[in-house]
Amino acid sequence: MITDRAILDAFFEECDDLLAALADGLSNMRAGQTDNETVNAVFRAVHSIKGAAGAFSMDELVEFAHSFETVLDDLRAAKLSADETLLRVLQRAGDVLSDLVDDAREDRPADRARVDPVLSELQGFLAAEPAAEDEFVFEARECPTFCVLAIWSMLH
Amino acid sequence: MHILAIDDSRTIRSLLKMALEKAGFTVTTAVDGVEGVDKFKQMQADLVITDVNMPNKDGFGVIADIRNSTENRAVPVLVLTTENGTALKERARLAGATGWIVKPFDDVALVAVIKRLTGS
Repeated sequence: MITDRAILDAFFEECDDLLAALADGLSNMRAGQTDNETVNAVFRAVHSIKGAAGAFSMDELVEFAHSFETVLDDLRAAKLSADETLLRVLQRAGDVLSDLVDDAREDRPADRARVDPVLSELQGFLAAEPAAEDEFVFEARECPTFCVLAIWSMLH
Repeated sequence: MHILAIDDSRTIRSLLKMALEKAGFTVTTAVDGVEGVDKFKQMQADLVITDVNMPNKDGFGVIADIRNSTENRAVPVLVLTTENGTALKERARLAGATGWIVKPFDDVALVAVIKRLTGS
């Protein structure tokens, strides 16, 4: 979808910064610092990578980052606790996310044998979530299926 | 037409700026909610696009500040986010958002929505 090389390069530069912030945050969490601010910083790093990767249709990266951030979201909402098992999975997820960014940078397919076990572990922490209701959502015709717009002003 | 785009991702800011300037809009960007509200107060925005998850002040805080401001409080505010949950949409609507756009956004659809909301 996006072909502008300069913006793509800027995206990977931003990813490097976000992955560094992610590594710092995870390291702090392993050291016992699991306060909201620390978890939020980790969440935002994963969330920002996901948000921008979506613009470049990096689907494997987006899918993984989505599960990763959902676990972090549940952690900051106190639906999960930062025990040793979870912290270990988060650390592995950080490593896989970094690999997926490298794969996207090199434009090569992800190593699913490495990604899938960690993805399953992340998903194992999540309860089945109901699909979003679409009463406020319409699918824009000129827009690919991944782009959904909800315009309340048109409905009220 | 002057658009204020608030997002902590510099990639998203670049993409928004590129898409909106290509459509002929003037774009001011801000890196988080605090800078966004500061810039909002210093300019006459015709429309605001804001992310939800941001450091310092999130998108809900931005909308609340805009709706409580003394000037230009009725400006259309579009929430741009990867979230698609009904509860979050309802929260944004109650906070005073005009619309919701799920990332990744499509340039053509985004511009069409902006033109519709601003009557341009």
